Amino acid sequence: MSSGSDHESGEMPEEVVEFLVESNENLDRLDQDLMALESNPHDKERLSSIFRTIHTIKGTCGFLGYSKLESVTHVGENLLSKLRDGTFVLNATLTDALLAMVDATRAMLHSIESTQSDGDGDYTALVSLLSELTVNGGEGSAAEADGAANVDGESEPTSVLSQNGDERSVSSNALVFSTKKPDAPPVSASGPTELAAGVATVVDSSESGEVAEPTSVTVGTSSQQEGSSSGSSKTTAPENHEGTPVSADVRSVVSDSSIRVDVALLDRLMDLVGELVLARNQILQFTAAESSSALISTTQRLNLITSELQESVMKTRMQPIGNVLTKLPRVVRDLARSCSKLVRLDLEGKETELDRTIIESIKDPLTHLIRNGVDHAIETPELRKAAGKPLEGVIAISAYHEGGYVNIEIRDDGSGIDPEKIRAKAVEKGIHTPETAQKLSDRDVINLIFSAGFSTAEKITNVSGRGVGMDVVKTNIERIGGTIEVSSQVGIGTVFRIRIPLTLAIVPALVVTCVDQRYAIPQASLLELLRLEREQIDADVSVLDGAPVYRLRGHLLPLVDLAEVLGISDGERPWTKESLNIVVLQAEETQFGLVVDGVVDTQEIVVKPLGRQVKAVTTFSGATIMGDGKVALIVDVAGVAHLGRVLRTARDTESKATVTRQVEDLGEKQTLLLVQVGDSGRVAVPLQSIDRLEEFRADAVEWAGGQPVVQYRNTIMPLLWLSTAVGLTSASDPGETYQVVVHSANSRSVGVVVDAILDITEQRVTLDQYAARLGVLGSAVISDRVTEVVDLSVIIGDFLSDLVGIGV
Amino acid sequence: MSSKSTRNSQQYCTFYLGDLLLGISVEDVQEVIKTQDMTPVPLAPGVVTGLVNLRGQIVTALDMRKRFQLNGGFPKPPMNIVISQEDGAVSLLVDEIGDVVSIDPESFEAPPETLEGACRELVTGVFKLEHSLLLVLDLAAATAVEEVAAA
Amino acid sequence: MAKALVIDDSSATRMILGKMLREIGFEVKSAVDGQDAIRCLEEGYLPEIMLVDWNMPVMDGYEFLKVVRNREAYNDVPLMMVTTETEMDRVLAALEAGANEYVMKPFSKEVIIDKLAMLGFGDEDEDEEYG
Repeated sequence: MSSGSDHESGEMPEEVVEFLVESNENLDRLDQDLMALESNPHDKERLSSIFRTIHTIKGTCGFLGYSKLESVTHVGENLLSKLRDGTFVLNATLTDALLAMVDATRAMLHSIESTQSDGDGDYTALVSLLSELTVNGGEGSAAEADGAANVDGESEPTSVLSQNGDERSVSSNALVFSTKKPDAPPVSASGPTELAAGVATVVDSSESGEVAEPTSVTVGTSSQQEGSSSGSSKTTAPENHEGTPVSADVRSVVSDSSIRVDVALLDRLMDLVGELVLARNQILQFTAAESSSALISTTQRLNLITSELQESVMKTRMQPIGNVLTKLPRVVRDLARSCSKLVRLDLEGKETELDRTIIESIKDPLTHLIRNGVDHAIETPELRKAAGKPLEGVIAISAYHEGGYVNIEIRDDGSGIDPEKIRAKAVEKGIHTPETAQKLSDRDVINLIFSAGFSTAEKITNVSGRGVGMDVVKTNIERIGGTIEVSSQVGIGTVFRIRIPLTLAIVPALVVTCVDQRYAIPQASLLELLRLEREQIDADVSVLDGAPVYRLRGHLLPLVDLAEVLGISDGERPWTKESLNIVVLQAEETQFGLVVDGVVDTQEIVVKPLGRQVKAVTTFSGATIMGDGKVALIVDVAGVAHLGRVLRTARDTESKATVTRQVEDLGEKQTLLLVQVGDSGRVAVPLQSIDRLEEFRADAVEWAGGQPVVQYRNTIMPLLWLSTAVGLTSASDPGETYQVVVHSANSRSVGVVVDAILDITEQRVTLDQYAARLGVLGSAVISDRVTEVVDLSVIIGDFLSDLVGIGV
Repeated sequence: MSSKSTRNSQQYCTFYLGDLLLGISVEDVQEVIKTQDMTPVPLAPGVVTGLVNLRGQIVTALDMRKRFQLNGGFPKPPMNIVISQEDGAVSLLVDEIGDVVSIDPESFEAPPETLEGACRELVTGVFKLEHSLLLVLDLAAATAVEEVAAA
Repeated sequence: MAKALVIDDSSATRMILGKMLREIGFEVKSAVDGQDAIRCLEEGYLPEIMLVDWNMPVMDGYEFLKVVRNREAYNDVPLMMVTTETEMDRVLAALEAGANEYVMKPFSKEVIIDKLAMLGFGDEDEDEEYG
């Protein structure tokens, strides 16, 4: 995980490195095994696997001189041997103590990794607890045992401390490899200080234990096979498929057919393949001009082989999602115990594979959702009983492929999200007034949990008091191009659905040009490509108050000039040119058109990260290497949208108020044109009632029958002033041009003159109808201001009826 | 490997920026290459000249003349000193490459008071050579330009 | 150079034992479990000594012992049981079933040299030892 570990491993003897990798792998499995054993305490196979793991760690660490680790694992082994021999049967007390031992072991391994010493943590309490349990099997000392796994780490170690203080005595009959001092001086105590006198704080140490593990992954020679995808150890690796212990034969096949490969090497391999693809592309270009059929067929073979190689190398980077999921049962168990709940975690689709970079980035969001589920969703057994539910709550995670995506569903059978509570919360937080909150649909209300600063946790529990809200979960998932949705039914449960791309390393992209440079736009955001000739530009592109829009199938699509956003524009407005290339993109909820100079083609690009000197540039998400060897930047669509001011999200703090109000309901979202009428009046016009936006010079206005008209598209179009129509006194000084909203009905157009066009906004509108009158639908809060929403068809109908007989 | 090792190394790769003779530990230098095709990064800090493809690795090229706030551009196509850092490689664009010099660490001195402005912040110390003064570049400071990036 | 076969499911332990034995002057091969070791033998690697971990998955030390002692080709290869004190009860069983010697983890190079000497290794090899 940390690149630092690579540096240190260079100085570490290889057997220590091997020991750390091996032990961490085994420990991860041990968590699983212990919990599985708890539900099926007589599973012999699992018992001996657990025993062997601790036995191996103990046996090896003795050689390496880690005496403290040896003493802890020694008593653990003793206790386990009693279980293996059937002297005791595993119970919760023993499981807690053994898990605490696993945590202590993990902490010491962590310490060894960073300081090459097993640290100065004091594990005497744990050692004596385990020793005692070895004698009484956990029947007589439940109090101490509870302490051992107390999640908040504030147990009372004094009760068992120094009962058997001399930890060396337990292994005095072992011969110690004498090349190292048994007790290395305390160097850094990062790991063990988190432990209260030998009592593991479960949460902390399980996190610290992750440090050594991800530096290598196991690659099966046939990675598709289910067996190798989850068999992460080349040595023992009993599979964790519940209830189906893998036979000895299968296991040995797995161990023979997989090797451990350093992730850095895989990344390097990936880079090299990228280079090869590049060279291949160049050769393809050259041979296109050649006529030698031998050369052409050879090139075609090279082409095929390269593609296959690229695909295979991609696959080596794929890891089963189980690698993240396997940590969760432990999280659930500890959490459930600490809040006295019964929770079962069902995992399905553990073998579903994802690129390892994505695996890394969904770890935290998933863990957070699970913690939330246990802490808030699943009820206490008493409540569940009262509700007629099974005492044990279930959280089920399932993962499966669909298209180029992986879907992850997290379903619980808990209390569900109560929309009323969320409404109350929204009001309390000032996000909504009691009235607007009532008008929100339940579905919208539930989705409020993803809003920034909206945490439903009423009390800071030891579980979820980590200061991260659902908004962070959502942000993290969106950052990797994913989406998350929630649905919930009170009393029945909640389902979160996450959809994420399979890989981030190679993505299909559209290559465009802009001011002599090429840019890659990920196709995930691409909706369509448009090329407009001069005529269409004149007809369908308008500039509203400096902001260009294109009328696309009845909707106004805001346009963003890429060159302008990037600050490399030569000042010429692209819509004044002979043709216009528009890339229609989706950024979060909004669609917009990105204006570029040219469109080159679509291709698969290898995504490379940007250096830290340019990371802060929000318009780019990475870079890639083109066929000719030059670097092209990858456009961050959301970043460009933000900078182009077509997107506002909750992350823009200044517009937070606007956004939260945008959630206001009345069914469909509406796109509204905000216009100024009179000197300071402001009204909103639903966009679907507008056909066109035009600008006329004041001297183009003529008079016919006492009615102002303009010549427009070979007809005479009457004008009406919106300010007058809505009852505002006079218009402001007309200036040199008129901004005109054209409305057509029954094959006749009317120009509605407004004083300025302010903005286009898309939102749900709640109309307050007290102000309703002819032509005014009501008023609503739009962009922080009370704004009247007008109904153009009524205004124009009224206007036209007055015109009858004038003959225009 | 990292710039921390600067003080202890004996060999320095030297280069010129205007009248200044600067040096970085040879251990920090991945390689020295001639000017490459560069892709400019719009909106990036001015010091960032562009991105270079170095055998599949994307390297951020930093204009050291601008970093040192020297007047004028490069007198001729600049040289790239490629530095491998933990979070990716950077290339320092400099006027010209000098010799590799071996220096007794004993002769290392703190930057003199006479050093001014940007130069003072970007130099960890000096070595007195026979005919000139070698300024030891503070790599971490010289490559830390992200905070001036456009928001 | 005398040949040794180290059989242990822990790769770290194989590494440590391998290193130790090489320092003493052995040529060392290793196997991850009993089955792997049998494969190794069948492929023609005939060791002068086998160091066998007792607790292994797939095929443990005891099963392995029984297999090799029943095969003519290998039934006289000296076998040293590598174990820990939690398995003392197994040592007797192992010796009865044909193990030649046992050693408890962890052990120093000196200990293994002594144990090997009991099996007749040593004198001529000791010169090669260093460190």
